[in-house]
Amino acid sequence: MGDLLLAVISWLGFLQRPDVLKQLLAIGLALLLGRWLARAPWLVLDPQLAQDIRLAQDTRLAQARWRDRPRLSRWIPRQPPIPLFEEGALLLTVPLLSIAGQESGLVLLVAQIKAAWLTLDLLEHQLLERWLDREMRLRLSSRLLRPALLLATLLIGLNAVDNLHQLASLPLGRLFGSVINLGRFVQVLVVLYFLAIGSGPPASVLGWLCQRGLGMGEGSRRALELILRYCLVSIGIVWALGDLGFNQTGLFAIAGGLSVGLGFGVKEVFSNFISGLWLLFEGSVRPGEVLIIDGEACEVRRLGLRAAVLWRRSDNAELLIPNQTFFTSTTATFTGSDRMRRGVLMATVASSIAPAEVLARLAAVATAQSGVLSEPAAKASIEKFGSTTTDYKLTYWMPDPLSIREVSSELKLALWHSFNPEDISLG
Amino acid sequence: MPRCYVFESQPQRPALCKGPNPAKRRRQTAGAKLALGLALALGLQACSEPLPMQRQTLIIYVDPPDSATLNKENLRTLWDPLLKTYKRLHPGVHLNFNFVVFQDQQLKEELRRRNSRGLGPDMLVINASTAIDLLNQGLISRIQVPREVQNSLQPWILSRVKVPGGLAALPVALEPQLSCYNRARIPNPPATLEELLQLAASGRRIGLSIFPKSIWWTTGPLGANQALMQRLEEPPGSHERIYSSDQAAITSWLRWLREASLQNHVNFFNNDEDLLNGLGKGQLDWISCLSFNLPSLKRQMGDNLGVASLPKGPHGLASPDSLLRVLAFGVNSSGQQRQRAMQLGLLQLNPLMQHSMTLNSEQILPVNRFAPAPVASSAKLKVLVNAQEQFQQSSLFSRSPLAINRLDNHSAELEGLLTQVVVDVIGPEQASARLIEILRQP
Repeated sequence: MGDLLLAVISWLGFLQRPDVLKQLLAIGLALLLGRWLARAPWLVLDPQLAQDIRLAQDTRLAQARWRDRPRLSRWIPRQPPIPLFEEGALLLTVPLLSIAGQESGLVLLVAQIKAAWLTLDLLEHQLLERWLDREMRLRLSSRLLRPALLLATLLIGLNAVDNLHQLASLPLGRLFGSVINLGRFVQVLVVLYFLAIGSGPPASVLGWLCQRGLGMGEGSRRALELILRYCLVSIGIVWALGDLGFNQTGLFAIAGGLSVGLGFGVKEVFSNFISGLWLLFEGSVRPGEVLIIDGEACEVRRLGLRAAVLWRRSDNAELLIPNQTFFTSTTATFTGSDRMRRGVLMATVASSIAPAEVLARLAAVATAQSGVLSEPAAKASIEKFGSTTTDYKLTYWMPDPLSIREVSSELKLALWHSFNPEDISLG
Repeated sequence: MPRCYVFESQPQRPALCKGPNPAKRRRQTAGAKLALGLALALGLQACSEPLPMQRQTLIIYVDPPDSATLNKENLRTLWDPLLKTYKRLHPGVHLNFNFVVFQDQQLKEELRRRNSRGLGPDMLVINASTAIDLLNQGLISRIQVPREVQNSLQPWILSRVKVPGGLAALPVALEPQLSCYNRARIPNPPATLEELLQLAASGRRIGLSIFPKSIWWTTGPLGANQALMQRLEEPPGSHERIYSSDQAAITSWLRWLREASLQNHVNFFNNDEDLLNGLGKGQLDWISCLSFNLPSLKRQMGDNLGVASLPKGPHGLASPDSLLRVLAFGVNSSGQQRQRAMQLGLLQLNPLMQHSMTLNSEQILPVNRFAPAPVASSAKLKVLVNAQEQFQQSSLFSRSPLAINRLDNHSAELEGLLTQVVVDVIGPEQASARLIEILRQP
């Protein structure tokens, strides 16, 4: 660790060199020049825009103003291409420095790195925008592409000031008798990160293949994907521990420590994790299932390591419910063996109308209603005779368990139209 | 009419409109940025100005003679005595080192790239021949050294680093080639090539390198050294007639190599590292090695490690190699960094420092002629001195730096040719003609 610290401190020594300082100054000036150049021609072409930009307090605002304006002509971009001009200014600085007999490699390196980021921007905005939806694009960019480029930038930067192989061999310390060096440690972290993030697409492909080949349902496919990802990450962790040189004694010590921890502090966390895995295998709580939570039907969206995310249609709320809740309490589901839900409607009809006619009309109206299944057929029955009214019960089936409110409301409206309003009362 | 612009996430506040003119604010922001930039630049500049306690960082590139695992910690330990002495002499200066190891093959390319960024080293620990090559390519600086310092160096050493207008680098140590063996398996090291082959015949495992500079030591005892050196010293592309005796000497040397390879227990290696690993792990009993390799072999073999001069032969002493390690100076250093680096380099040449470095390491020999190696204190140093004497007496490399560069340039081709000889793909006669052709190439 001491060697690493000394190496880091020594990199500051480069700032004592005139060659480096001159190049840093040139980089700063080139970036400022790029920003200025990016705006200048447009200011002349569009005086109103010039006024807007002059009033704008910073670049982001200037770009926002630019986006909002209609195009002046086909060749004028919708926003000032500032990064492009900065890149151009940096590249222009390189030969200028060389002509002046100054070193310029650092400027070139910064220009190369900036060009890589610029290319990524273009890739995201020009190519990925066409192929992927916004959420997937953002996820791919923020979790995979940008971290990968950031890592590459970091490694290039480190290699510029030191020898990467030698830095990698610097020891960080000892853990359970194994020497952990910097390179191995970073490598393990990076592999685990990209395994956790990057295992999604292969698991999805395998899940899709299984769905097509074995005729699995959507819920089973999602469960399979999640299990595959857990397996990949678990294998990665085991590999990482082995690669770091953890010996068996060390692993046993960790297992021992975890056992004590599980007994006290992290019992709930572990319980939720195991419950989640069990539920996945059991298939009772899978993404797409509809469960009754607090008297309302909710759809399972995700089954995470700690909690399941459910969507409640009535108020568009997402509920985070710890996995062990499903494991330890009774849960009603509408999607266990089929996805049908039975609805019940109580109706009070005037005794002046013949019961047989009411029963037939109730069943007919329900059957004709959209969102109500014809098989099993809707069925009406008499519940109670009164002096002036008779109580009826109408049972009907619907294919979508979450649509009970809408179907019930539409059915009541249809019944209300079918009878004279003064002859019927609906519960 | 001034307009107010706000970000979407920020509610519009009319009060902002009543403040200073936005255009003015923008100019103020730009002014503040410029001031900040200037302050930063001045601050950075101030870092390079002398402070009460001067802190200097020196970046030192090390090109090890073999691919031994040299890490920052090892190198720091090696340089620690020098740094302590430096601190005693310059109490107001705090020096921080960063050692970066590059192998010979990658050094030139790395230097070129890093120098162009201004991130090159302040000092380099390299071989004298490498220093000349790097200077010719403008990758290191030529240095001026006081006359008395030059006088303290042995003349042949000075000639190896002298270039028009100064020195290519500052010589600091010698690392001669010798023989390393397993004392448990070989009680008495072979004094002649004949004894070496007899050892092999008796079941001892002998390792020889096919790398031209590493096997060159056999040219002296087999009489080919003079003939080969003449070819190396000829002007490039020369068509001067070869004496048949010279050709015969070279053929005889190649024949010996081929006959040695036919022995069951003599193995040729393309990589010196394999030789060292073989001895260290007990798979070989005798190899040629550099004094630089002794610490790593000692760690592996303990007291079983024996060192001796390389065997002589019918035509005289062995003609071993001896690396002249030098300190070269980078092209990107600030004035102060260069000054500190030069102070450190000159301190290494101090007779007392040379004496203590030799005694502490027991792997290098001093270059300062006023600091003789303390042979009475160490048997190992005595062997090193003998090997160095062999080098100076019989190896013509000591008098011809250009020959070394030329041999380095054709090393890959020669290695290929020698490999063909030892695996009996071509005969010694045919190989000697081809070898002369290669050595005559520019």
